[in-house]
Amino acid sequence: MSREFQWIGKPMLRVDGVAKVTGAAQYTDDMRLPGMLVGKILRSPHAHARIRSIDTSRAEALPGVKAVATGKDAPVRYGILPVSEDEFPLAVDKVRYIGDEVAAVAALDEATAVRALSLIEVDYEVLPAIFDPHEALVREDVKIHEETRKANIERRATLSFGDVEAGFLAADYVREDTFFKGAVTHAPLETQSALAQFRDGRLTLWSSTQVPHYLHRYLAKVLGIPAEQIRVIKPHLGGGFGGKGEPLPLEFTACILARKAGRPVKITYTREEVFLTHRGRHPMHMKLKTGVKKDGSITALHFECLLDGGAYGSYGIVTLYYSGQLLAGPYAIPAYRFEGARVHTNKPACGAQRGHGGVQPRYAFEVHLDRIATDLGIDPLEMRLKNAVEPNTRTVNELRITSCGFRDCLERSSNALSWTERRGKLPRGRGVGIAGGFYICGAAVPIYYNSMPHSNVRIEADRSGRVTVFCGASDIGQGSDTMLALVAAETIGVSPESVRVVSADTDTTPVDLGSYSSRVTFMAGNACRAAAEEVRNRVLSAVAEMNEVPIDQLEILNGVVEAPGYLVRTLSFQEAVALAEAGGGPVCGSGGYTPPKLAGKYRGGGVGPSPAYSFGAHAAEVEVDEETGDVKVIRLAAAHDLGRTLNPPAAEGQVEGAAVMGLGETLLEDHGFLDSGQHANPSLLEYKVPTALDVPDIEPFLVESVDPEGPFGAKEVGEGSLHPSIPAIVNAIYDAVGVWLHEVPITPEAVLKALRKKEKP
Amino acid sequence: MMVLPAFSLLKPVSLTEALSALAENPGALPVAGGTDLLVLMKHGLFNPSHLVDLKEVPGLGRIAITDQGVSLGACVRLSELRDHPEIRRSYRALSDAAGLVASPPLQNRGTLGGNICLDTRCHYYNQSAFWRQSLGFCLKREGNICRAAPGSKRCFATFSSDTVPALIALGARVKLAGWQEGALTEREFPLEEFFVEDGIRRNVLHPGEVVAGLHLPPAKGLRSGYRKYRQRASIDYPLVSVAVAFRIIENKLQNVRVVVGALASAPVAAVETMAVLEGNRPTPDLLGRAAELVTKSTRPVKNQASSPGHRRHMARVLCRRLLEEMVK
Repeated sequence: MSREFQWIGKPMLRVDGVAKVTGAAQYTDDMRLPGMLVGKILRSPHAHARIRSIDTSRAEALPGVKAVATGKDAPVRYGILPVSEDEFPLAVDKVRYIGDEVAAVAALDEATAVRALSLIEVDYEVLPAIFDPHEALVREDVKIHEETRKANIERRATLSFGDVEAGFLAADYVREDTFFKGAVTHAPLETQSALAQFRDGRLTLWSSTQVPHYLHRYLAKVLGIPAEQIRVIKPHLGGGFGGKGEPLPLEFTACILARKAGRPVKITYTREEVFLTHRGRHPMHMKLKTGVKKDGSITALHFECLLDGGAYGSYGIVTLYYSGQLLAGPYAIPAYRFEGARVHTNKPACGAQRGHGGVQPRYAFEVHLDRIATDLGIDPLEMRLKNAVEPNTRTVNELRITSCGFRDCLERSSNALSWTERRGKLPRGRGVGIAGGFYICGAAVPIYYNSMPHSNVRIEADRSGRVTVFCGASDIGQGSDTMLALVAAETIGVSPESVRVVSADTDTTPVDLGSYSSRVTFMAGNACRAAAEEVRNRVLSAVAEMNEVPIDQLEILNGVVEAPGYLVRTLSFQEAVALAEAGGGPVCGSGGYTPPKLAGKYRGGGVGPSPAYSFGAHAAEVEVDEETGDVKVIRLAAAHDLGRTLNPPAAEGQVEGAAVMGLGETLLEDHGFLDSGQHANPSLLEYKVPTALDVPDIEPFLVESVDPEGPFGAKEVGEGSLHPSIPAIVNAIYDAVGVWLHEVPITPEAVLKALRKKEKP
Repeated sequence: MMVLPAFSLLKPVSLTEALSALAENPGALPVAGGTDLLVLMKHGLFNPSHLVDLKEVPGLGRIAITDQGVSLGACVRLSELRDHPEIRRSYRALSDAAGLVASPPLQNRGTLGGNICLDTRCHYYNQSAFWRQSLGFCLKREGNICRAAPGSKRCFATFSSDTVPALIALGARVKLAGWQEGALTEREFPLEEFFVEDGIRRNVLHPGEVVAGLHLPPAKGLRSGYRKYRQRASIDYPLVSVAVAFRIIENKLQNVRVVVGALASAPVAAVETMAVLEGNRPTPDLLGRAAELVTKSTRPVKNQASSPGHRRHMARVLCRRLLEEMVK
């Protein structure tokens, strides 16, 4: 029966909100277990070295030390991608970056553990190191991983769609540009933490993980323990952004130490360790060539991209393919060729970070597009509207576009800044810019091959009238627990306050693949809706049977079961559940979500396809001080097509948060390294995350295209808004002072240099 | 978090008790807000046996205003300096500088004395023990070469206090207290003489000696201002800073003081700028010419986020903009 939404679209308090603002919420590092030890990891001071030997005897002899571990304790390879399992929990034979894990200690207290680390003697044979990705492409004499066939190239990828040569021949104008997007890192508030306990031969690991399920699998593999004997629990988590999106050395190491010591062991990274171990956004060197007709319509695109992957695989091969695949929209591109490579360097591994894979190429392409528009004398907004993808189409690389509010996004963000009246017409030093973007709502293909659902939810309604949602989804602060409560409440018809959510515990919750690639609202939301429907049907069937009313005449509104127009007593939801339980036992429902088969039938065709795509457009207004080079973002109008708004403040918060993160990447954050491989700024003092004073007024616009397959029409809102924010700012700088910046982050010095260059061509 | 090394905490309740504690324990260091020292300790840069907490020492937290000027105790909090109505009115540069230190929570904790004694800073120094060991240690701590200027015999770590350039511009005198042969010693002199152009030695404090307070002469129509350049609008240390004070008497600039911070290992008096301004009418042309000279005596090295050239450029821009605003 169709009806107005009871809860969806209205502001809902987070289910964990009060606990978090009062400090009651327990994060992993808040936990203490009887007999718990503190674990610490010894890290390599060398960027590239062979380990000749490790002598741990002095550390072991130190009073208070209960266990010392090295690579020999678990020499099993792992890696989030089955195609690049190239890591060990602790180094075996070799270290590959400054900070690589060498050995670990568990002691009664932290000071003893730190002291014990200094007593471990490692004999290193220092090897030449590579820090420049271009060097890594060609250098055969230095192999960071022996297995790489050519130089230090982990993977090359080539994709080609349509007739690219013909597309360029048909073009009236062809432009080429090169860009560089520097490295940035996640900088979550909570540093990574893991607490391991063995009891009765079973392992429990509490960890700040975005992916309890993958962690569960790899713990079994690396530790050689059957998965059924392992429990992974994710306590409250203080921000992930991708940095906790794969099994990490501290998680294995805590378990190895706990097993050796026979006592619980907790390892919490220092802030420096968070920076040292990284796994953030890949630096990319990019080259774009685009052909257009006189009217601005795109005829062909050729994109080349070099990814500086750092020392290990991590998510990198997926990053590589995303960087190519996600340029095929949100503009209709009839012919497209991509050539990319990911190389190893002796720096911390890069991995997934909010907006994974698409952010760097999006920056490059949107600035490149503005340059083409400027060359042709076409308004950048017009240029985008002309080429915008339409709903229910396929991109040239076979991505299935269903709902699409891209035009709306362009119009709403540009209108907010009075684009037509102001673009190109503001006084010198002030400017506006626009950019678009799109992103996946989860990957249609799982990370490891299997045909099971990507998300599962079990719901139980009990005689207290409570509804409990069990789901493996990992709330990392984005609010997925609240989303599950809302979807269950709306579907069943009870108030969200009567819903409890039990999540991210592999003993009690069914599998969800985790919080990455913006998949949770779409996939867990759909699974939750299916499970809730089942519960609702169970309850209503019982009521229908008792009252002899057709089930489709019954409804549950705000926890009350009614049959409008029938002379029957209304029942509270609690009474109705009791009735159902009396008739048929526990009132449970379950649901799973499996994406449709969307993978492209070509190598790499598994990366990019998604059951739906979010779209976005940001319009930025900046002020540029031509004497100092300072760029100040005054306003950011951020429009995001999220299908349907489930919880407005949560959705707006995601859009704003992503925009702020983009702003930081554009103007401040630089995850750099010295020539000798040391991290240039491993602290929140020197790694410049924007402060509240650096953030402008952000106006979020939520565009509702109502997706046919999303839960209540919803799509992702967590990551997509990062894509357009960077190029919107860069394009606004051009409008303000007439210079294009082909390198991000943009320093004041770079602005001044560009201005000087423009004066003296 | 990084581990704070173990130490004994002493909490004296008088200045003599504090000074004798410092004298008796050669490994002791004074502490007040701890916003600088505790971080340095976590990095393994200082490893004191004792910390002597000055916060409970009577008198050190006092602000006294008399006909003779203003006396400021070493433990006055930066947020008090920022908000104090009289300081804001008569010594604007100091109030503004205090309000630009780090961020409001740190201003609530950090003290004037601590900001004056702030350790000099360098990219190769303000790092963890692990990091410094990986790169190799430096002149300032445990090593024998300067990582910022290899080949140099001296340390170029940067003087990074915000309040000091303002205080010097305002003509502050510093009062030091020490302990010798069982008796309190005191000395007082202009604040600029407190600092040494040496990233390691930094200042003239003897072991066991502490900054007890400062004295500012009566303002008497003094105008003053402070500008700071940093990457973010909060938290960051200065990449460069400029403090200016002068009087306008009969349309002419008098008693001009211009001090530059964060371009050397000590605050730098911009004597060329002062000479151009002193006794002259503040025309835009004069202010521009004076500002161009503000970095004349500075030779910063690359040991901060921004390039030395850009930091010097920013000093000139900030100086001109500040002068223009102050003559309005």
